[in-house]
Parts: sequence; structure tokens; C-alpha cells
Amino acid sequence: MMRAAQIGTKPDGPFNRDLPAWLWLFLCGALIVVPCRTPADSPVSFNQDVSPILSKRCLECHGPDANQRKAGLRLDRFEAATSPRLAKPAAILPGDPAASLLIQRITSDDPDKRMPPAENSAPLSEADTATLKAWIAQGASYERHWAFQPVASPQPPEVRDRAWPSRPMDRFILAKLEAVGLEPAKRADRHTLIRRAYLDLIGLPPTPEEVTAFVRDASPHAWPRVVERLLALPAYGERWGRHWLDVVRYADSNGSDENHAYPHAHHYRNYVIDALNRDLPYDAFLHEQLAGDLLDANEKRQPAATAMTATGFLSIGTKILAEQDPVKKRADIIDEQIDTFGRAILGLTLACARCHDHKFDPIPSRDYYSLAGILHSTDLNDRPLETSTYLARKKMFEQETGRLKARLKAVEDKLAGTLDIENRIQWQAEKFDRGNVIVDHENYGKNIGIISDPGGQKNFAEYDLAVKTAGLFQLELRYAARQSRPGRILMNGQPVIDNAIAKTTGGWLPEHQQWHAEGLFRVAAGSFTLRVESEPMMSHIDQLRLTPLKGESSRLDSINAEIDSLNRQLAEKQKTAPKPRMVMAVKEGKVKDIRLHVRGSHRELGDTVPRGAPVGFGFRGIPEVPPGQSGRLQLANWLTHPEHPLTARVIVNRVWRWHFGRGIVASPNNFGTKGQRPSHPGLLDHLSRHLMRSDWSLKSLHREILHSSTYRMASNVENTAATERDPGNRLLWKREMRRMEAEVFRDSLLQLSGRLRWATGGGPMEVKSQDPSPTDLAKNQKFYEQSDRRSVYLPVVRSNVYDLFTLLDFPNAAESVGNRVTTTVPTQALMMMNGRFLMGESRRIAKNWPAVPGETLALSLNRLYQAVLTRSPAPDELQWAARFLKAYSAGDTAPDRAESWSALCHTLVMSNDFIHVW
Amino acid sequence: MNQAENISATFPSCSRRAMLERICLGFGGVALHGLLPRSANAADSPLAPRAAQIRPRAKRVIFLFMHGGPSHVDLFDYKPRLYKEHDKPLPFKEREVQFANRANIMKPPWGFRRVGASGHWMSELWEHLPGVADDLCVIQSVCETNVAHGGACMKMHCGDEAFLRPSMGAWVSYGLGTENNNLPGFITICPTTLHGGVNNFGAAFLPSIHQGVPLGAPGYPNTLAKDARFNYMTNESLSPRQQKLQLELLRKLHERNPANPAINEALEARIQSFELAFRMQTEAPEVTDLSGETELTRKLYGMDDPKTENFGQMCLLARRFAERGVRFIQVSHAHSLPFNNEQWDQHSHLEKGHSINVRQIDKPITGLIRDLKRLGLLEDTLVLWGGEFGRTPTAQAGGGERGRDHHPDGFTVWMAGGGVKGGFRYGATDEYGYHAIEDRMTVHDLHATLLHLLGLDHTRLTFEHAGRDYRLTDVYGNPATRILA
Repeated sequence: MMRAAQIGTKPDGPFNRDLPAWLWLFLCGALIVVPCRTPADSPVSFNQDVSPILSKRCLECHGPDANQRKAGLRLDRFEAATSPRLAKPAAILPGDPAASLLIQRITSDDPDKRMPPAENSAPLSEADTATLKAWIAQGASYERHWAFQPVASPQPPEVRDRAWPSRPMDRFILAKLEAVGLEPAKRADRHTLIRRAYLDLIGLPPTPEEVTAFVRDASPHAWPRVVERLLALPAYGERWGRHWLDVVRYADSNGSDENHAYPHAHHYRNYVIDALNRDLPYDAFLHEQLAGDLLDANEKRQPAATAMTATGFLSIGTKILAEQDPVKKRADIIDEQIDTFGRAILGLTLACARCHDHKFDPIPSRDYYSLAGILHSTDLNDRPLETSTYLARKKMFEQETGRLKARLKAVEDKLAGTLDIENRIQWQAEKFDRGNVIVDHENYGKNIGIISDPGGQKNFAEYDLAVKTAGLFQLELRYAARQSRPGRILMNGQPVIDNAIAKTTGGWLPEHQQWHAEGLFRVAAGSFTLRVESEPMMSHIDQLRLTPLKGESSRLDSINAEIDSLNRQLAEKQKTAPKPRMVMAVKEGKVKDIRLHVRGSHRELGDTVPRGAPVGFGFRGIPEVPPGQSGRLQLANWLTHPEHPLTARVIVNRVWRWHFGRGIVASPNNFGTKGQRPSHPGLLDHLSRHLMRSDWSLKSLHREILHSSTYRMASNVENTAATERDPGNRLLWKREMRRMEAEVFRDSLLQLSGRLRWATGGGPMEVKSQDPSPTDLAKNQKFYEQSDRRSVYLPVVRSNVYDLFTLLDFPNAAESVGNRVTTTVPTQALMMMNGRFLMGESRRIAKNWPAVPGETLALSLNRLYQAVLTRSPAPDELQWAARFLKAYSAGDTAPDRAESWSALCHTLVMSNDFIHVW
Repeated sequence: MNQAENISATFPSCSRRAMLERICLGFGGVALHGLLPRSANAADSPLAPRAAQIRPRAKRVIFLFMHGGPSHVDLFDYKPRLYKEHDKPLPFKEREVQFANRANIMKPPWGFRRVGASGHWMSELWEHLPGVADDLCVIQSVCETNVAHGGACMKMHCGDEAFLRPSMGAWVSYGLGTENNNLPGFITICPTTLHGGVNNFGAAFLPSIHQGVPLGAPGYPNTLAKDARFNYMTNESLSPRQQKLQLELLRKLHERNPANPAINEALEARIQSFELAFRMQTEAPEVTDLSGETELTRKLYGMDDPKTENFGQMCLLARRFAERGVRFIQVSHAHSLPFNNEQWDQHSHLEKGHSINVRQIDKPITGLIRDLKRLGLLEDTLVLWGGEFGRTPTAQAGGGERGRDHHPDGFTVWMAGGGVKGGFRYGATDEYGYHAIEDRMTVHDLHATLLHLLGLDHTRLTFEHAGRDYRLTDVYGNPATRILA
């Protein structure tokens, strides 16, 4: 029985559920001073106690999903559960557990009658059965699921120990501890605290000087000063931005079946880091990520031109690129977007409602398809950022090129004096009569259409022409070429111009197109064939024209020379054309409501569902989305409505989880009925209100938490009573020790080795993602190992994440991750023992903090321990280290002191002391 | 002993306790909670061998994966009409979603003959495989929907064509654990990075210890067997003696920590993982060292012939892992160099491509089956051969040497050993080898069957993630019990 009374130890497993408070008291009555009460006296909470049982054990067949419902019985609603069905009595008779069919069936000895059915699951435990009985006896009242109720404004509870709390939030923690007779752990020592704050807020360890300064600073402001300094460092955004990148499944490649690179994704990453450093209010942060391209700038937000970067949130997911069914492909992409949106922002598993009404949460399929309509009306798009700086530069460039073009036009006009413009033949290059060239209307010939080579070959295009009057004609071609791709012109098979189409124009694009005179040749009256050829490549040819000569050819030469000169100037100018930054974003697409997909199939369609936000969980919807708009803007505003029950709670819980290692709700991505109940519901609401009151400032939330006594408790404490009653530390009677995340581990090593390069931002990825060969992978590996940048700037190649990261549980970015796991596997140990990176950094650390000849070993060791472990070595540690150094090179004829010293450093960075945050 | 089995995960969400609870999911888990022993012991390990849910027929799987889509109508599924109606149009409409454009019916470049006492039809291309025909259970009715390699590979390996899910090897490791704690439970030999790549042996949301460990860097082209090594298994500068000193110091530093039991459990597990790693470092090279194999064995696998040497070595390695209790071993034939590097994906040059491919695998897989049988391992080792789809009975439209397009709606895989009927044929396609029409077997059914053979009920092998109990078979699948011996 004692074991059964333990408070759950596991954050998100199926059995981890706090026992009902009354049962806890009942079972532990003998142990603690609170008088024992019988279950029937103590109120059972539907949300805390009953709903988890129903969700887990009953609702799959007796829940909201009508298609899966068995025997027409529904247990998630009071009216349905307490009404008689056809010939059968009601499942629940409030006040009378014994007569309630529900209790009869779950306790039946007859295997055919017993619920849940034996083939699916075990009978309900005695504790669960007792809970249900007590609940029915007390009237079987239902409540709305806790997460869908409005955020309360709870008063911090009264506590006996008034000295301990530093902030109001501490009283929520302390009250729960006091209620079960536990005490919070003592405050951590200063060495531990400063290392904790640094690793937590900026992901890097403090330098020995910073440690000393803090340890010696007796002022009450010492701690707040550290917190403020860290929050103001750009390294803060790099550390906390990375947390958000987990949630939004950030990566630089597609992953999935075809692992294409995402060359523009890193702008989204940089945006996130910057937004956190600026403390962009969380509501604006969400607005920008959902509808940044549609927003008007205001005091919080950036102009749409830059906020568009934020919509990368919707576009950086994995996509099944080789899917041959475009309708399914689109539906799968949208499903991925809805899944991420639901879990990341609402903490709801919305994607479950793709095929059926959600089995456990009030999310009907219609809600899914109303959101899907918004996303169907939104196109994924790589878009240029038209910032004001860019626009100004563009304007200046256009003025300058405009002047050149005007001069060119003036010179061209002079041609009328020597060329018979009226009898000119002019035609489009792609209208050839015979040819093996490609025609491009999309990539290089947008709005103009061009011909070019399809790859290396002998390229040609032939045109059947006719002139009435024989004479000398000038041939001009309009083309674009960054590099010279010369060819020649033939008439009726005879070469007439060699070294034609040989000029360069500054680029390959339509704006680089220029007319060039290729030469004069005689044409006889009647039909003829003009052939343009080049090998192996061909410039991008847009148009051709032939004009009879009417004046002096010498005069023509001088005009052509002038034109040439201006063309060259234009080409040079074109090379300086300002290029907008391209970002992975979205834009409004063809707006439409879509039809419900029966069982998720795009081949079986039901009713049309208007675009909108999910309404099934009881919060107001959004007003009708105006025709012509996707609804993203309305959805963004809906999310951050001050009365929205989920948005603030979900982010507050995440921030808490990242500070403490476990959320108040241990399933940060699932606030639904199958998710975990909050361990401290009042605290969650208190902090959610705090966030909203402080204009959604995340830094304000950090301060609130960092300044608390709860945050500053020691982790390595002995407390037998607490260990016995709450081994999982759900009530937070101490600080939970945590292993460093992969990035913190790597960045800390780089800082200690002196190799970390301080720079914000970062360019596109420099590793190969698609179809890498073992050689490519070796190159990628080398790139990662040699990089001196902070980990957040290293490219995340889905399916081929840097193995040091993967081994330390960095996510694969296939989906939103709210809880990173912490695994301990031998392959991780092998990487640490044998990997080049650790060995190399250890050598550098050894050089940075060397054993200085001529000073005592203890002094050198002390310096090394201070740097690596933020503390001094104990006397026994000094002895062990000395013995290690001696034994390490034993037997060597010429012992290498540097080698043994770096092997010691290597051991220290592998140690439990180093890799854990205490 | 205990140390060896104490590979464990720690706070926050993968404690040993959590792991065991998850593994016991679905039957009596609630009752079990709270009864778990606090001390580390064998049963605590996530890789400890576990009792199966139904009578197990096989203990391990060797999956011979033929990347690219081997042509069922040219290899196993004999269709006389293709010869008779060569170059005529198919008499019915093709599937709506196609990968490439199709032309008329194309007859196989080879004849077929009956082989073994069971009379399986096999293409004349097979020279050695007929010798073990009576061990094969040929399934001719596998049917799927995705026509692209990526989606189809992910479906075959992980049960879903669009979203990242745990691979079947990971599910088997999760469901059964390993019998050898000094080796991973799931090893994939020379895998490719194409078409889902490492996702195809990944653990997705299952604890990462269940993910396939590659022998040889994954790549495209994939690593040759002779160059395949486990990553990080050797140290370039430290001797084992020096590494041992490091581990001793690590343990001392760890043991300084006060005795807070909850913390210590996690820290102790980490120290033990180093000690286990050190032992793996010693033992793993022994498994991949083939110098102790006789000349006769090497010949049996075709290792004496440059054409079969690479795949032969992979098959021999698979046998050595099977002997040592690895649960799931994948061998991928994804390499048809020197002709090209398009695996079995012969959109053109079918005759040449398939000849080379069959030549490369025929002797090694036959040798593998014979060798497993000789060692008494075949009875509890399930060998599964197959690709991500088959190929169309029609030719692919377009010029050049003729080939066939991808075809998912009816293709062949086969099994051997592991409790399946030898010399048995299951399911059939229509007269053109187009649609599976008899005993249709989806990939979900195939997975359900595979788990069933291992003693796992596919509906009860679940893992709770993102608010749902996930299965390898999603909400589908039925085991094909008629193929059980």
C-alpha cells in the first residue's frame, strides 16, 4: 500500500497520475498528522480525479467520437451518462453508485460483462473504482476540463513559513508542501547558483572571475544583478530561442523522403533569436508567426515586410515531396501545419481530428477542417523581404539604370536614320520552326519567354523567314548572359556571322535582357532560313529582329559602338542590383472553405466547413472570416485574446518546464484530457496572469521565476520523508538536477577551450542534406566538429542531425517537441570516450588551464576545477587526480605531461559533475 | 552482470521505471505501478528480454531489403499472359496515381520454371535460390498505395508514408528487448540515406535505445561491407589501459556525491553506461571480424567472387549478429554498382539491371538460408525478403532500353524460417500481375504478421505519445495466420 501511495514519478506516461487528494490522505493518514477522513466525506474533483480515469479507460468507446461509440453510451457528458438509453437504465445514477450500471460493469466478475473489455485492457484498479464510486455518491458532477476553463486570478495561498517565500509564486509551492508536511530544500550554495543561472539563461558556464565576483558580492542585489546581466546578453536569445525552435520543429532541410535543403530557413531561426533578445511580447510573437505578412506595423510589431520572416513557422515542416498525388500531398502538408500549430501553441492534439472527432477532447472533425480551410487558403512561398532599406536602395538603383536606359533609347533612336525601321521583321525566339532548345516561361523567361540549352549539346533554332526586297540587313538579338556563350548565325546553311551572341549582360534574368547588333549580311528576296546555333550552352535569347539598311553602314557602326558601350555600362550596373533577402514564408492563396474529409480521405468529401478557429472546447470562435482573406490574421488575434484559456497557460508552462526540467503540466504539448493534470493549477494561472499583465513579456516571467526561492533551492539534498512521499519531486521540495542539453554541453566545451566565436546571426547551411554519400557525410561531420559557432547556428539536417547532438537527445525536428528526453545509452558514452570532438576540445582545455611547471600540482588542479566544474577540488580529489596523472603515463619511456593532463580534462568533462546542472 | 544490463534512461521522461511501465503497457500496468523494485536489476533494463504476448515462433528477424522495387513479374510471379500479349495495351485502366507514363504490356526477358518439391514458380534468373525453394513462403499479394520510393520505403519500414514513426526494428526491440546486452537490439548493415534514410531505422518517439544502430556510415552510395564499422568504437590515441583509468576516475568522482537515492540512480546509470560501452568496445569488433570463418562458409555466401562478395559479407555478418541474439538485423541491397546506382529501380534497362542485381544477391541469400539451417537458427529466425513495391507489367513509356515503372498494388515478398510454412504460396495477383486479388496483404498486415510470428500482438504493442497510443500498424492490420507452420 505504501508504494501505491507514492506520488507519480513519471511526467507523461499512462500511469502517472496523482492519486486523488482524498485517497492520498486516506492512505497516508497513519503517517501524517492530518486526521484520516473517509472517501465519501472528502470531495472528489472531476477534473483532478475522475476525468483522467474516464479518458484513459472509457472514452475511446464511450466518448465524443460518434463513429466509434459503442452501445450508444457516452460518458463524457453528464446528460448522456445519466439518461436511460433505449431499454437500458442510465449508466450513472447520481448519488447511487451501487445501482449505477457503470459501477456494476467495471466491477463485474463475469468476463463477458466486465468493462473495459478483457481483450483490450485490465480491470480498473481498486483505487480508480473507489474514486468513481465516491464521485457518483457525491452526485457525479461534471466540470469542464480544467484547461478549457478561463484562467483564474488566484490569491497566493496562506503559508505557515512566511520567511521562505521570496515571490508570491513561492507560496503556491510552499502551501502544497506544507499540506503534506514537507519542507522545501535549503538554498543552493553560490557556486551552484551562479552556474545554474548561467547554464539556464545563456547556456554557457560562468568564467572563474564571474564566479568569484558573485560569491564575494554580499549585496542583496547580487542575484538580481546576475539575472539582469544574463537576460541582457545576446546569448540569452541564442539559448531560449533554441527552446522555441524545438517547439516549432525548426530544421534546415526537409527530412522525410527527399531531404532537400531549406536554404532560407535560417532567417526564421535568426528571427526567433532576435525576437527573444528584444523581448518581443509573446502575443506579437505569435501574431507574426501566423500572419506576419498581413500585419500593420504598430508599437510592438515590425512592419509586414520583415515580420513575414516569422511565418516560416508554417513553412519549415517536413513535407513528403515525392508524393505523386498532389491533393494528398497538400492535405498532408496542412495536417503537419495543424499538428504543429495545435501542439505548439494550444497544447492540443488537433491533428487527431483529421479522420474522426477527437476521441478524448472536444475537438470535432469540423474544427479541424475549419482550420484546414485557413491553411488551404494560404500558400507556402519563398518571398523577398521588401524592407525600407531594400526599397530605398532599389529605388536608387532604378533611377540610375533609368538614366542609362534613357541614354540608350536616345542612341537607338538615331538608328532610324540608317535603318529602315518600317520594314523591320521582329519575332520571338521561342517561335522557332525547328530546334532542339528549351523554351522557358518560368525560371528565366518570366513574362517574356526565352530559348536556351537543355544542358550541354549542340543547340540550334531555325526560323523560316521571307523578305520582299533584297538588301543588306542588320541582325539584332535580345538576350541575357552572365557568361559569354558564343554561337553563330547561318542563312540557308551558310555561316553569315561567326562569334555571335557572345556578349555578357550582367545576368540571366529578364531584367538583364539587352538588344545587341550581331552584324550585317545580304539577304535575297524571297524565303530563307535563319539558324541560330551555339555549343554546348546558349545565352537566354528572348527576341530577334532583322532591319534593312538604308543609310551609310559606317554611320551604323558608330551608333552600334555607342549602343555597345551603354549596354556594357548597364550590364555592370545590373551586377550591383540590390537583392532582397528571401525568406521561407507563406502568402494568401486562393481563398476557399473546404469540405470535411470523411475518415481523413481526400477522396471522400462531406460538408463544406467555414474557415475559422476551433470552437469545440468552448472558447468563442472568430467572427466570420471576410471573403478574400485566409483567416490567419483573425486566427492570430483569436489566440491572444485576453480570455483565451490556453495560449498564456501553454507558454507559461513551457517556460517553467525549461527552467525546472518538468512543466507544471508535465505534458507541455498536450493540455487535453489525455494530458497530465497541472501539479499546481493555481500557480499556472497566477503566472499566466502575470504574463498577460506584463504585456506578454517573457523576460518579466523569467525574472519572476529566477527571483523565487523555489528556483534557488538546492538539488543535492537528503530528505528521507520527502523521498518516501514524493520520490518524483512533483511537489518541488528540491531543485531537480538535470543533464545539460546537447547544445549546452558543446557550447560549454567550446567556451572552456577558448574556441567559441562570438557572433550573432548566421548564414545558410554549409552541409549536404540530400542523398549524401559517405564522403559527404564525413565532410559534414568535419564541418560540425570544426565549427566554432554556438550550436544554435549549426545547420539542423533532418534525418542526419549532427551525431553529437542526436546522442545527447537533440530532437530530429520531425514534429513539435515540448519535452526533450534525457537518455543514457552506451553509444553516448562511446562518443564521449572516443569522439574526435571531445578529445580535441579536451586538449585545448588542457592548454587553456595547464599544469604550470614550477607550481604545485594542487594549484594547477584548483584552477582547472574552478574553470571546468565551477568549484575547488576536495583533498581526496587532488589525490585521485595526482594518482591518475602518474598511472596514465606509467610505463612510457618519455611520459608526455600534456597528454596525461588532457586525458584528465577529458575525464572531467565526461563526469557527472560537469554534464549535470545542479 | 547487473551492470551489463543496466542500460537505462534517466529523468525526466525515460526513467527505467517509466520504461518498464511503458513496456508493460496495456495489461496490468496500473497494478504494476508502485510495485517496481527500487534497486537496479535485470528486469529494469529497457533492453531486457521480455516475455511475449502470444506463443512466439521466431526470436529474431533478418530483413533483406531490396531497395528500389524488384520486379515481381520478372522474378516470382509467373504470368503467361504477359508473354502472349506482349506489346498490347492492358485490357483495363491503370491506377489513377502513377509515377511515370506507361506503355503497353512487356513480357519478362526471362522464362519461368517450377522449382523444388513445392513447385514454386521462379524466373530463370535465379540460379541458387531454387535450392532452398521449399523453405520459402512466397507472399504474392502485398498491396500498397504509394508510388514513390520515399513514401513506400517509409511505409514498408515504419508503417506510415507521410509522418515520422518508429521503424519496425525499433518496435521489435521495444517489444522484445535484446538477448545480448553488449550489442544493440537492432542493427542495420550498410544502410542508405535515400528515401527516408535514417528514418527507416529510427526510433521516432520510442526511447532512442531502440533505434537501429548502423554498421557502416549510412550513405548514398552506401558503405561497402568491407569498410563497415560501428561508429566511435575505437580510440585513436588512448590505450584500453588508459581508458580504464579514465573510467575509474569517473566512478570515483561520481561516488563522491551524497547519497540522495533518486539522484544517484540516474548518475549511477550513467557511469554504468560508460562501463558497458567499454565492454562493447571489446566485444563488437569480435562480431565483425570474419577471420574465424572457414573457407567453406565464405564460399557458401559467395565471398570468393567479386560480384557477390559485398552482399555475401553483409549476409554473413547478419548471421553472426543473429547468433549473438540481436533481435532485428536489416541487410539492404541498395547498390548495383558498377552498372549504375539505381538499386532495383529499373525504369529502363530492366534486363541488364535485374540480371546484375539477382547475380549479386542470389548466392549470398541462398547461402544465408542454408547456413542458418545448418546451425539450427532458421527455425527461430525469420528471414524476410522484399522491396518497397514491385514493378508494372507494362513497360515504361519513353525511349531507350525497356524497363518498368513502380507498382505498389500487387507485389511479392517472401519469408523463410521463423515459424512460417516452407514451400507455401500465399495470395495472388490477377492474370497480369497487376492487382492483388487473393488474400490481399497490406503492409500493415505484413507488419502484424511479422509481430505475430515474434509473439507480439500488434494491437497490444503500443506506446503512448502525443495523447495517443501508437502502434506499428496504426489502427489497421491483421496477421495472416494461414502462413504459420
